[in-house]
Amino acid sequence: MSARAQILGRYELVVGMEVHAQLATQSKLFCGCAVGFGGPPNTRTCPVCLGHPGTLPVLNAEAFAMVHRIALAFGADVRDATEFDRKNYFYPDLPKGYQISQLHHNVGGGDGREGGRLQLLRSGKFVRMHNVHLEEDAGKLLHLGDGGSVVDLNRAGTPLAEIVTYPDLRSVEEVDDFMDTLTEVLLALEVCRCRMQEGNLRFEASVSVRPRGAEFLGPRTEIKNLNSYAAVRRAVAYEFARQVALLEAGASPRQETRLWDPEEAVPYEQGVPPARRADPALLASLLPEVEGGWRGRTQFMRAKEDAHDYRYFPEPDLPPYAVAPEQLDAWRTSLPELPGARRARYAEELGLPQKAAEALTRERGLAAVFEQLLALEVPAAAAANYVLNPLQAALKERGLSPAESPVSPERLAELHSLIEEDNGLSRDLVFKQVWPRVLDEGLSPREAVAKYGIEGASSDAVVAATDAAWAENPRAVRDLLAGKKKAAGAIVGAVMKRLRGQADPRAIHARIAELLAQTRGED
Amino acid sequence: MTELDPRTPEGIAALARLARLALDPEEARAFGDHMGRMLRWIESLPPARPDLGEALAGPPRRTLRADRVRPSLPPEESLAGAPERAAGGFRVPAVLPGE
Repeated sequence: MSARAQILGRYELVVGMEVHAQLATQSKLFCGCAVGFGGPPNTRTCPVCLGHPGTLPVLNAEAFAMVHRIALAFGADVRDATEFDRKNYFYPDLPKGYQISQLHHNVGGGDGREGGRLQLLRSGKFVRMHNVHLEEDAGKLLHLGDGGSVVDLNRAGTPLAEIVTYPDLRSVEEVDDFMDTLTEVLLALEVCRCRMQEGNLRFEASVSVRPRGAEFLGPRTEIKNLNSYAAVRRAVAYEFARQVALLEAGASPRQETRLWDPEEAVPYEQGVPPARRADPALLASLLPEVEGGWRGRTQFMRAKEDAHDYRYFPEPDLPPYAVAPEQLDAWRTSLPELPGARRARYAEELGLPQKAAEALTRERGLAAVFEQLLALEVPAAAAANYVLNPLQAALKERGLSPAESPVSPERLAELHSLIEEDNGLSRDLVFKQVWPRVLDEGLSPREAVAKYGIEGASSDAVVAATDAAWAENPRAVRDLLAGKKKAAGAIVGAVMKRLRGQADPRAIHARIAELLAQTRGED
Repeated sequence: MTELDPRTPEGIAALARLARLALDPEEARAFGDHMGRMLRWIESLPPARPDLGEALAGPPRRTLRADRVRPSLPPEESLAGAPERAAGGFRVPAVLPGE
């Protein structure tokens, strides 16, 4: 065991996650300004989201429904009444000087209530949710580098679901599993676009370390500025190494907020007293080995605020919101089948390989096409193959989502019939000559066959070509007779070459079987 | 740490830090007096907020709006109150993380 593994093995990583998911509404949480990404600054603002005096917020019904659907999907104890609080702090991207959020009467969990749980897709582990609540996003700051910053309030007031977990994750792999699982659940619920690069899904990790086997929780650092899945994984790995380096030197981590800096290679501890700085050499030796050398570090931002620093108080401009039991039932019963359940069903009931089941449920919309193919009586294995290979490749090439597919499930099903029928058209031929015309010209597969006169080799031609290849490949014949089935490949290849790829391999194999039987009979 | 009490010098110092205000000792004392008086007035008011059950009693009110986009202000109007402008935005002194 390496020295690194020995040292790290003495400690346990403990991670909790705080997630901000921008809800996929058309308009902002408390006003009618559009929700969007990019665009010229300050073009999606109004007196409400600018925080002008005399304005009143009015809650967006869709955002309210979406955050409830998230809490219900986790199986959280959802309140029959919820209300908002003001979280007060001063920062230039927060025009009112406070954020409308929820502290005490949040939507699901919190205050000792059951927050529900999320089962991770890869490991199957359950992660407990602490609470889910609704709040507004802040604006954006662009630092000019001349001592000034520019405030863009287009994002201010965008609805956010904040999802807080218990510290149940124990490794970087589990953190990764959590992020993938949550992303898939939010996509399945159609409540968030989950594009981290556009900032509409943001993860913050709370990381602490304790001696392996200990029950207590160490002081945690909260890491911000994590704008990609890779950044989260690297920041958690770095923070584990940093805190272990501190503990190994007899120091102790403290509760603080740190910023992830993805570029810098050197540990940076400005603002941290020397006694609390990790030894750079020890820290470097504990980091994962990466080709080209490790990059990225967390840097001290501030000592963690306590809740009372925010001077929360009930938001006087918004009434409490009751949720009727019938409404909750309606939201609960309209929840879609979530990816974990769907994946298990594909593997267990339909017998798909695990990888195919995962791939079909990973991208929103692929499973819908697959389900439609099943409804059109295409067998599961073939349907999965059409969706994951030709269709997905075509969508990727054109930058389209499954919902925007140029080929309908009905046409894919027709393509399947064409391959299965005894018409001399091989699968290869269909995909080489029919499929591109279906994709590019909007023809149905049968229309493409008729228009371009596509036909496979006749059965007579296949028999003649196979017989010729049989005669020309005595070694392959010998191997076949000795039971080496793979030897048929040489004969199939020779036939295909002779017939310019237009033969159906099934017909060639059938003729080979006849020839084998004949030859054995002669012996 | 206990709740911030703006009637104490420590409470005023903590509030000033959170509000990013630099107060000299004279100002801190004056603000402490003002805040103390304001709090006494506030404490003399009856609690304005009923509990959730009480607030929700009575006929239902229409308090949610449909998720529909309405026109935003022209940027010129959004920025009308900006003390300074730059690059289409409100220009402010830089506040960097950790400050």
